[in-house]
Formats: sequence, structure tokens, C-alpha cells
Amino acid sequence: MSLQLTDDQLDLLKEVFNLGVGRAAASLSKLANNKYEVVLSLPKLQILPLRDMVSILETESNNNITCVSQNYTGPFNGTAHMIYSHAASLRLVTMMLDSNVPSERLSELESDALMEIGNVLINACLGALSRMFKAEIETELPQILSGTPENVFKKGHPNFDLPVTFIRSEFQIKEENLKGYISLFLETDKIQKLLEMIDQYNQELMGM
Amino acid sequence: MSILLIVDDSKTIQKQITHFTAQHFPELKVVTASSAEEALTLIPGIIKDLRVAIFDFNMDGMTGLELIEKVKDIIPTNKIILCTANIQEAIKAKAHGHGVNFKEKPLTMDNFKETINIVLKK
Repeated sequence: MSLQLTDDQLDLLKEVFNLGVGRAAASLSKLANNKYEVVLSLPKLQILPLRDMVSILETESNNNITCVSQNYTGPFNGTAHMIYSHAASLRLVTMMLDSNVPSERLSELESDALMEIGNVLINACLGALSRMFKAEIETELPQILSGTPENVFKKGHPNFDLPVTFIRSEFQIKEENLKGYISLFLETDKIQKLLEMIDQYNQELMGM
Repeated sequence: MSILLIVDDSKTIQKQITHFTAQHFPELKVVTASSAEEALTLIPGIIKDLRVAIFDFNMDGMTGLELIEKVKDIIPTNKIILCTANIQEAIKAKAHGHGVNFKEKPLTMDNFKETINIVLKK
């Protein structure tokens, strides 16, 4: 399936992601007791086969990612995935936690903190869409997976030719010289209904 | 005619605020800029009629806070609203430090109406 987004569709999807990332940044900062300011880049959006997204993630994440996935249902259904590079996420969580936390508890707390931030980001994006479209969107509990990008996505997505909508922002914590990416991807074969609603929303705004 | 200026790189947000303004403040003319740099070229021409300015924070080039730094001597800061989903305390503190209004995105019709009414009375 090939998909070409209009400028209005691209603009709205990026803005919605921006809202989500902004909330996620605030949550990150709050988890670290507001000691750090998280600086975000503008989101980039690409539509590409899943295999190409996996290649990008392999290069950028040193082949090790953590992914929080959440199914949503409503006027449009699908799964949103928030992806972190593993090294950046581990440092993030270490920064947030008391240095007295025993190392054996770190990975447990890491999953918990990343799941929470993923949950905030995904729900902020979906919440923004829900308010715009005045429609209820329900989410299931988030799930977290870590490993190589290929392994993380192989299970739920046997077809790596599947086109996906891949949106990402770079985050930076200057005080700690830490950089990473927050990404979201949506299965493109499931976003047709969402795109129709975006068009309808834009028409309503224009037809005022 | 009194002017409401929107500085936001999202056309969706520009359209949404234009729509809200037409619904509730038809006396305000909306002027839009897609970047802080574009706003700086527009502001001298509209300054005498400018009543409210809504700045996004996260934009390509200059941020909304950097734009506030540039215009705070010509636009009363209590007429500026910094509107962002990036609700970190550090950003809120900087906004409040300049005396500008801080609003969380996305704006709804109701909180837009309330905020603009407050700013127009200042």
C-alpha cells in the first residue's frame, strides 16, 4: 500500500506528535524533580517500509531499543509505539533515580519509568486527537519490549514491507550531555480512517 | 481594527485559533506568522493595533521565548501568551519571569475564550 499525505495531514500529525512529546518532556523533567530541562527538536515525519525504519533504528540506537506499545480503539484503531534508544533511556532513568537504588532494581525501575513516559506520550497524542475530533479513543495497557529493532518488531509485524508512519524528535539534556530520540510509529494500513477525520476536521475549520 | 497575532509553525494551530477567534472575538483581525523570524518582520507594521499575541514555543529557528526577548520592549508582555505542550517547570518559570501568560496546548474553545478575555482586560 502506498500512501501520500497532504500538507494538512502532515502538519496535523506532526503537531499532534509535538503535543505528545512536549508532555513526555515535562514528565521526564518532573520525574527528575525538575532538575533538568529537556530540549526538543521539531518532529520529522517519514512514511517508509518497516524494514527501512528498522535500519534507521539499528544505526541510531546501536542496535538496541526499548519500545512501549499501546493498542488504541475508537473511531480509528491501531497500535502506537514509542521507541527509545536503550543506552539513552538507561542513562535517563539513572539520572531520575536516587543513586542508592541497588543495581539489580535498576532494570525493573527502568521499565517502569519508560512505560510511564511512553504512556504519557501516546495518551497525550491520542488525547489531542480525541479533543480535536470530539471522539472517544480508548487505550489498552502499554507493553514494553527491549532488544534489537528487528526482534522487537518481528513478532507483531511479520511483514517488514508494511509501510509505517514514523515520527521522531531528538531530545537533549544539556546538563548531562545526553541526547536521544523519542519516536512514534503508526501502521499506515490502519491510519486511513484517521486521515479521513483529519480532512474532515480541516474542512470544518476552513468552512467557518 | 484590533489585531490578534499567532506565531506558530503549525498551519493546523493557525487555522484552529483563527476559527476560535472568528467565533468569539469577531472584532479581532487575525494575523499569522509561521516563524519567529517572520513575526519580527510583521510586528512593526501591526504594532499600533496589536492587542494579543500568541507564540508557540517549539519552532524552527528562534523559539517563542527567544521571540519574547526580542519584542518585550515593544509589546507589553502581559499581552503575550506563550502556548505550548512543553509544560516543563523550567519553561513555565522563564515565561513567568518575563511576565507573559503561559497556556498549555492544545487550547480548547473554552480556555481560549477565557484566556483572551483576561488578556484583553489587562
